[in-house]
Amino acid sequence: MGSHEEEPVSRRDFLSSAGWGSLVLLGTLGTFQSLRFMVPNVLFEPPPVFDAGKLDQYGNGAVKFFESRKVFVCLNEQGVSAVSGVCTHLGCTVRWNQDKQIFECPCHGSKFYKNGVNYAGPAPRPLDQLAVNVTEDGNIQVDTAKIINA
Amino acid sequence: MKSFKMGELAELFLRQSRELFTQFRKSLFRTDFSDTERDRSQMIMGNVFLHLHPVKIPKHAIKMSFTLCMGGISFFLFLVLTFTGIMLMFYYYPTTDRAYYNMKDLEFVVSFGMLMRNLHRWSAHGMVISVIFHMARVFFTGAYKHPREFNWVVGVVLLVLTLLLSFTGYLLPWDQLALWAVTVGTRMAAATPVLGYTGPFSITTKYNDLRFLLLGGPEVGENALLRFYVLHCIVLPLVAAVFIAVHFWRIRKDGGISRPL
Ligand code: HEM
Ligand code: FES
Repeated sequence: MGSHEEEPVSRRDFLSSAGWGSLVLLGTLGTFQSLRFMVPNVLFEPPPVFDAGKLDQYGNGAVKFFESRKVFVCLNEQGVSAVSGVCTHLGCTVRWNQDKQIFECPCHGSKFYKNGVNYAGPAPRPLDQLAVNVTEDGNIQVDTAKIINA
Repeated sequence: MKSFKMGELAELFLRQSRELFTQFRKSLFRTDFSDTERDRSQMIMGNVFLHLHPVKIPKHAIKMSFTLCMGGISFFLFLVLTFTGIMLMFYYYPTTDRAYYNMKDLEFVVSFGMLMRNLHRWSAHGMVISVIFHMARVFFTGAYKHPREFNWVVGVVLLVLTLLLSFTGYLLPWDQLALWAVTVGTRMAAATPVLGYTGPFSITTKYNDLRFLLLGGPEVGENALLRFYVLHCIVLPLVAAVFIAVHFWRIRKDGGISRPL
């Protein structure tokens, strides 16, 4: 690092820059590598599509809760629907109140009609409706990855 | 109201920012630095990381041919093992139905997982070797003699801790090698006199001897895996860190690295 161009770089300066240089390089690569390591490539989750049982096992007006999926499957005159149990306020799981025929959230008291529309409490919008498909042999299939907000 | 010219404004801004910078620097480094012997010592002593180093060391102490840096390499590997070990903990569940698959995931699914796992494993092998070479170096240079007898004893504890870390870590992959190595290895605990159920003068059974205590059961199972995991990831590294600190502190109190003859 002499000020004149003819002045050769001393062995000491060369080794010092080479040493620090490779440390910085390795540190950068190592940081990148460690950060990438922390991003999981595979998640241990149940597949998004699940079987909600036979259509003819549901009585009219029935509401069935699938706890591990946080999904309510409802049957009424209009047909089958799957309502997400995740409250649209801050994400607690709502409960079905059979007597009042409404969904209630235990966290901050949001209330939803059977069709998922919010009418009381802090929830800003209706519960999500999930895609439902009834197979030929009468099986109800819900796809929790497909939100079809009507 | 006073009106400013552009030049004055710029100067004010410069002065302000310089003051701010000085204030920031002073909050980090408490004294000014000029390249004198006194300030160099101050700089080492006033820094929480650097103060672990002695302010001055005799010239002979940096002679590589005397220590072969075997203690230094042991410590470096200990740091590598701490870092890679913490990284592995992010993907490892110490349960009998998941542990083995976690290892497979690290090898085939997690990005750089194979690198982390192998860095940890090879550094562990390396540390056992370097600690033994370090001990041999200390022995052959006579560095264990007065006033360093105490540090030799601390060293023996460190050697045992290093071996225990290896042994407890060996079970964690939960493969055939792990299972049978620990099944075989803990037979030693069962052979303890009096307190082991196969040892001489035994007063114990398979269900209440030292091996039972170590494994948390009569066989190597779920409890043993959890016990070894806690020992490997928390208890032994903490104890080792404390003894390493004492080891280094003693080197300084004993007057630095012993002198080459
Ligand atoms: C975790 C394992 C260990 C670590 C990290 C470690 C680290 C160190 C370091 C960095 C030094 C400075 C000199 C050098 O690098 O050789 C040292 C010196 C020393 N070590 Fe260790 N050591 C370990 C295990 C041992 C063992 C197993 C013994 C002997 C039973 C031992 C006995 C000593 C003694 C007596 C000194 C002073 C040597 C002298 O003054 O020349 N250490 N150790
Ligand atoms: S999360 Fe449901 S009301 Fe707040």
